[in-house]
Amino acid sequence: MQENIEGLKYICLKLDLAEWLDSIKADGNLNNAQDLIRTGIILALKCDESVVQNKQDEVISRNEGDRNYNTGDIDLDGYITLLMKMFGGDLANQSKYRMQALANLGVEMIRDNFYDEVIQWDKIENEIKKKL
Amino acid sequence: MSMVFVELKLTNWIPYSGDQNLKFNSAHDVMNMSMIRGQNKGGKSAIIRAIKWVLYGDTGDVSEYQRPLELLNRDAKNNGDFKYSVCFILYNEGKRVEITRTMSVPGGVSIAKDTDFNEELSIKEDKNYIFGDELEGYIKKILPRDISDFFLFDGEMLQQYKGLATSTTAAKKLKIQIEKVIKTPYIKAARDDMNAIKRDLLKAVKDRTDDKQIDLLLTRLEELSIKEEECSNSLERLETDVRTEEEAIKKIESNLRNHEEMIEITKELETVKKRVTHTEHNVQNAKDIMKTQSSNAWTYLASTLIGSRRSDLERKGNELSKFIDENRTNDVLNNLYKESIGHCNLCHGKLTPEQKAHIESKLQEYSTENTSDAEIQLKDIRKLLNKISNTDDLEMLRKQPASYYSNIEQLHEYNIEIENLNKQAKSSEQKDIIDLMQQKVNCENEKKQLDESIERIFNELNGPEGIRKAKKDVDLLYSKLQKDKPIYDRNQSLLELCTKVERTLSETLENLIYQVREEIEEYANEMYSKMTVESSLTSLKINEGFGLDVLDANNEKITTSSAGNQIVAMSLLYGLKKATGLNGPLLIDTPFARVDLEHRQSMLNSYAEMTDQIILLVHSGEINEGGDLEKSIAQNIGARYNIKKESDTNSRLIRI
Repeated sequence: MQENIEGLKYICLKLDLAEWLDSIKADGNLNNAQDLIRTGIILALKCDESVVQNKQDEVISRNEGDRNYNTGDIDLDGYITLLMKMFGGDLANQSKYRMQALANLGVEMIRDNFYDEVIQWDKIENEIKKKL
Repeated sequence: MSMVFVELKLTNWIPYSGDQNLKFNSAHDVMNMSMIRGQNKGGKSAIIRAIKWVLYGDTGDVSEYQRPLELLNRDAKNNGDFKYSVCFILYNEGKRVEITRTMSVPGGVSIAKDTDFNEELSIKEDKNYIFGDELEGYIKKILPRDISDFFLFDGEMLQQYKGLATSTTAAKKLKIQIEKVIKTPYIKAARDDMNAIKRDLLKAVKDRTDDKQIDLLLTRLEELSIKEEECSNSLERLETDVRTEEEAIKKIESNLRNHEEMIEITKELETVKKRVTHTEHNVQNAKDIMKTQSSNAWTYLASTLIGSRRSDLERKGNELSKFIDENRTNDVLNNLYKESIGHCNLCHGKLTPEQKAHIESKLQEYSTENTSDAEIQLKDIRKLLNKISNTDDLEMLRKQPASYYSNIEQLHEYNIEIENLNKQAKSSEQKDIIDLMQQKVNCENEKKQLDESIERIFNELNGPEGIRKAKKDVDLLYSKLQKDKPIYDRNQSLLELCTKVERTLSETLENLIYQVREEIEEYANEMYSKMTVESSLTSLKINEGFGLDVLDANNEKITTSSAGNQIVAMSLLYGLKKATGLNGPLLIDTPFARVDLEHRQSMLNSYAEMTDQIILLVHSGEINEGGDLEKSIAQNIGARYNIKKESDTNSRLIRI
């Protein structure tokens, strides 16, 4: 999932996920896409290392329409980075690329498993608790 | 007046194909009630229409049942039989009267148009036929159209009788109804004629007088008379317009009744649509809550994550804290050593090189641990622990999806319901109903405006400062001025005479009406107490302005329910008939349209006593066949008919 760009000032979401976020925002389910990206990262933190790594290895291409989100908007006071550090397993492996992989993985999980016309926050909570 | 309806013979009349007979019970008997039962749109109203048509040449309807082809039975028309007729047999003042009205087309016409029909009226009194110009006059004599509303009426319209007296305008109508019944129109006509003669005389006298004062008075009188005539004409026109609107409303209501089933569906649709709106609001509400709350959901979920490792984090935090503290002591010692510059800080003695080497080696040993990483880690742990929320910020979000799905499911069910109702409802019929309802509102608004105009003009004419009062004053002044002067003109003496006669006629009118008012009130109360189920002490009062009030035991005005209104209306009708000697039959279509079961019983019992002959056109919803209500009046029912609707174009009257 790495691309030869400058150190990640932006993390990039796959086009289909970015469009899905746009659509649920348009449906009035969400105020900001960043809120759900943060939730996605938190959800993905408890995934197996290999799953996250696979996601990190996927090719991401802004030329194909995958979309940038400013990491500053997502990780406002370094809280997300801190969570990744504390709950993300191998500390050495924490980076913005990692955050990008977690965001893509987590948003995808929400879209595929915890969304049916509305976001099923109760199920997301259960999923997080299940992995604790 | 003594009148009994005997028989009605219908030929190809609206829903009745071929010949149909309806024999009413004989009056002056205990069994003075006839009951004709039929379903809606089955042919009940066609009976009342037949009687009106045979008597007055039209059915009383405004927008339909006016043209011959609307009155001709459709089966007959399709079979090429273009003749229809109604024969009405009754006894009037002991004489048998047979009135027949026939419409037919000349021979040789294969496809009849409305204009092809010829009308024929025949009246036979005992064995004698009435001829020519006397025909219409004869009907006017025995049952004038003006007062036919006291004999033949639609139960739904009973409310109008209550309405006759519940407002100033309506009170005037009640007065007009009473005037009609006690034949005051004749006196009024005489007064109006006298007025016209007086106006001519005024002009003649005015032309010949030299007296300026008298000339002035006569000019004023002339002006007032013109205004009076204008107002009277306006009133007449407006009243005709009101009647037209009332007929239109009646027609619309009748049409709406024909759509009863459809109206129910429409109402149900409206209810479901309201529920849909409400549920959609709930859905939106749930979404709004979820949207607002979604901004902070992630912090709560992060907090959950941190909370799960709280004790680990706290333990690690403590360890780090301890470690940092220990290393801080070492720093102090190190500083102390540096500051001492080779001297002991306690005894101030000079340290030997061996002692220095020993202290430096010990300090080196303690300072192998770097505290900066530990401090960063501790800061991170504290930051995380501070993020643990003590409140359940996800509570609302947890509940909302369930609420959302339940409402969405409900919406789905409502939509299925709407779809089914729409399938039952013909959209064209729905549109008709909406149109009819709109027409009714328009008519009611128009009528309201007309009523207001009538009230205004009526007050202008009859009010304390009105034209008639002014005219009377000028008349008196004129008489006073003339009193001492010799009558030198024939016109002047005729004018005086006219004024006196006109005044006498006006006073007679007033007296007659007020006398009869008291009688009406007395009789109306007699019937009202019989019909009222509640053991209350309410009574009816017709006030001096001919307004009708319902009073409680303390003589305070009260309002009445729908059933109460119908009872008031029937009581008033009874009072009017009784006080004015209109002791004829009573034919009511849909008599219990707005009356509850309890009041139906009391009203039904009273109907039998109300008049010598009563004919009820009911649908089974009003009086169940063989039900308690019917059984309770079984001894009064002399004739029973069922209207059997065989098809949309053919109903049959079956005596049972």
